[in-house]
Amino acid sequence: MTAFKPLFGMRARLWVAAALPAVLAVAMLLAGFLDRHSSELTAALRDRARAAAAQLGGAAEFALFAGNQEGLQRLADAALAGDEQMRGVGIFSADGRLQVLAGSLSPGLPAFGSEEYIGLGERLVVVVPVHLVSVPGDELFDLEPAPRAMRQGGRIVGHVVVELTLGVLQKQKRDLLLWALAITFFGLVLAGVLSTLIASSVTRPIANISRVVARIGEGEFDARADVGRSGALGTLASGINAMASQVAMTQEHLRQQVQLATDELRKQKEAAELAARIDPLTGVASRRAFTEIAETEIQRALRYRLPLAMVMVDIDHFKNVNDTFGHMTGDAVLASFAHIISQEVREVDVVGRLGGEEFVVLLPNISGLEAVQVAERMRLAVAASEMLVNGQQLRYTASFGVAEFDAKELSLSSFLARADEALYRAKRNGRNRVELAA
Amino acid sequence: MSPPAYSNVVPSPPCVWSSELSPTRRHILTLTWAALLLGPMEAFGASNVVWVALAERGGIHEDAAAALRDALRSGSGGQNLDVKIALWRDLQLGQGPAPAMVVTMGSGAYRGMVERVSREPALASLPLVATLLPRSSFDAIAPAPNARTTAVLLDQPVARYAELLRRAMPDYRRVGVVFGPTTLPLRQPLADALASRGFQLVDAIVPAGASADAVFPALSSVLQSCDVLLALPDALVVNAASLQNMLIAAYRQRIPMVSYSAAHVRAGATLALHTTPAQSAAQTVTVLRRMLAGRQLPPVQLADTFEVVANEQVARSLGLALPDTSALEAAMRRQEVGQ
Repeated sequence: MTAFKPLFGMRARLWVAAALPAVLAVAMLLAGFLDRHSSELTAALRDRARAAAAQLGGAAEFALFAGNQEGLQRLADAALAGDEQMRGVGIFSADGRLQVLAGSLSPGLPAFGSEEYIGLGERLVVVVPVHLVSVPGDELFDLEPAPRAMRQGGRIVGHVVVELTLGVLQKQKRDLLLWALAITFFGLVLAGVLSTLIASSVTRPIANISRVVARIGEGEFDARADVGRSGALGTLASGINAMASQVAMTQEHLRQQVQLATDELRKQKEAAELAARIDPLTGVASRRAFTEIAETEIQRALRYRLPLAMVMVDIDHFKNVNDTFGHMTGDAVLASFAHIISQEVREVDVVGRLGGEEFVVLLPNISGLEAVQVAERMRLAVAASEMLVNGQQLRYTASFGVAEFDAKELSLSSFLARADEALYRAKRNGRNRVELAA
Repeated sequence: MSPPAYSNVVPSPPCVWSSELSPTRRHILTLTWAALLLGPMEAFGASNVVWVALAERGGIHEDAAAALRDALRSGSGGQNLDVKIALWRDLQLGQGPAPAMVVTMGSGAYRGMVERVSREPALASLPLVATLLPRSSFDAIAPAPNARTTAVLLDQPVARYAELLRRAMPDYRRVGVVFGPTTLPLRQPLADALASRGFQLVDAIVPAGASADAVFPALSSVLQSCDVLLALPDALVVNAASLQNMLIAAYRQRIPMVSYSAAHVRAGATLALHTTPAQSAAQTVTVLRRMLAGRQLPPVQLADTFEVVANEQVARSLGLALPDTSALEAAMRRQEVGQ
């Protein structure tokens, strides 16, 4: 909705821009037309009054000539009755005496002369002289050639006065004004509809483009303006589209960068996790990893009633090695030792370093006695191995405590404790030997 | 309707306005007739120049003057005649030979020449023939014309009106006339002429010096008790201003109007007895030929030829069945010749 309100304002402004000159032109035309037509109406009424007076004058000529009062009265009455705007009709003789009167005449009539008089005040007063019509006679019998004026109109035998009310004229003017205003109004409405239609050709593409811009603003980078339907604003639409494409591309680039960084982080995290599960010095499972795997294997052994054995190993007199050859050599011994015992176990078996020189091996599907044999093999391999340290031969041994998982135990810690107990026994019984827990 | 050609005109004796003529004039007339019978006299033979004076160029006066000149020159010995047609003030003595006689066409030309005669004694000795004017104008311009002045008038003899009424409207008995100062002398002759044909004159008189407003009451009183209105040429009674209303008043009472002018018939009169300028010019030619032949100055003449015109439309609307105007004219002419 917010996009439409300014749009409506723009439409109104466009309409005003289109209609204002028309309104001004129409107003001026209207003023001119009213002024002109109103004077034409006045002139028309004046002409009508003149015509009525002249006609009455022509008709009254004979009656004036004959002094026929009754005839004059009939004529005046007929003239008054014949025009509803007529208020008074008077016929005067040549000496200015009122002969007959129909209706009423306002006081203050002008002096009668040979010219017709038209007075337009609150009422329209027309005075017309009545001439005796001269007929082209026989010029051979005229003593003098008739003067030109006499040929057109003979001597004046009287005057006709007619008085008209201007009420109808004013009503006509009012009607004219209303009519003109109505026509103007309808014309402006029509012009408004047309100019709105024309304005729409500009505002509709703008509305479309505005909507597209709004969608882009909301993150729809695939939103595009329809260039073909944008008319004159096609350039703007394609500009908006190009801008949107640019924004979308930038967005994609950023997304890829973030993806790369995220992957890197994940790898680092996985590596860290891996590092936590593998003892970095010896490459065997860390204490934590071994504990997890051992828990899983205990559950499996319980569920499937499979045998499970554990061998706990400790290098004999390792403190002496460290003290004699240094920690670097101690570390090398630990790595070598882990490698040797890993060689002696199956793929499924798990070797872990519990800490220091203490290692543990978990052997699934193997009973205690079988595990003792494996431990014996390990012991022999360790004892048989030798290392060269600074040109000196280094030999060492290890003690092994073997325990078989007992289903009654239900915990790794007690399983470990029994193996440890067996190892302790092996240490106590002289080292470099294998003991099986009870 | 067409006027007879000049050569076919049957010469009729000039009609004399006998009632108005003094015994002296009557004597002169007799002498004139005697002179005509006796043959040429020296008086008019001196020059072959004839002046024809106009008041203005163009119009019926100049047309009639041209017709007069052509008719004069086409007669025997007419080829030698020098007929000068000009405005009256432009005809000057001393420019070429003096004229044998002066003819004026219309009232204006006659008035101008009368003025010049009073100022130029040399002109006074020339014979002057006034034409194309009615008696009323002729009398008004020069109440006492000199002895060398005569006229061919447009007026009809009153008996001719009476005869026309007898032939055209035999059922109408009472003839209404409004007399003015000019026509008042005709009152008795007209009454006699009408009475002899079984008509009765109903009249009213507008006295000399009366205003124009006096005409309608007089007309009104006449229209009250007449069957036909006869208009005679009198400037006070019948003029451009009064004619229309006279016609209307008569028509309203369903009374036909008989007049002396074809123009009145065009304006709405029923019947007119008139003489055309061409007919008058032909009559003048006859007079001039006699004078050129050496005869004495003839007396003032009324129109000897005439036309009858009718307004068929008005006659029909008045329920009047008029005889054919050509037949009327012919019968009246035959009768006049017979007399």
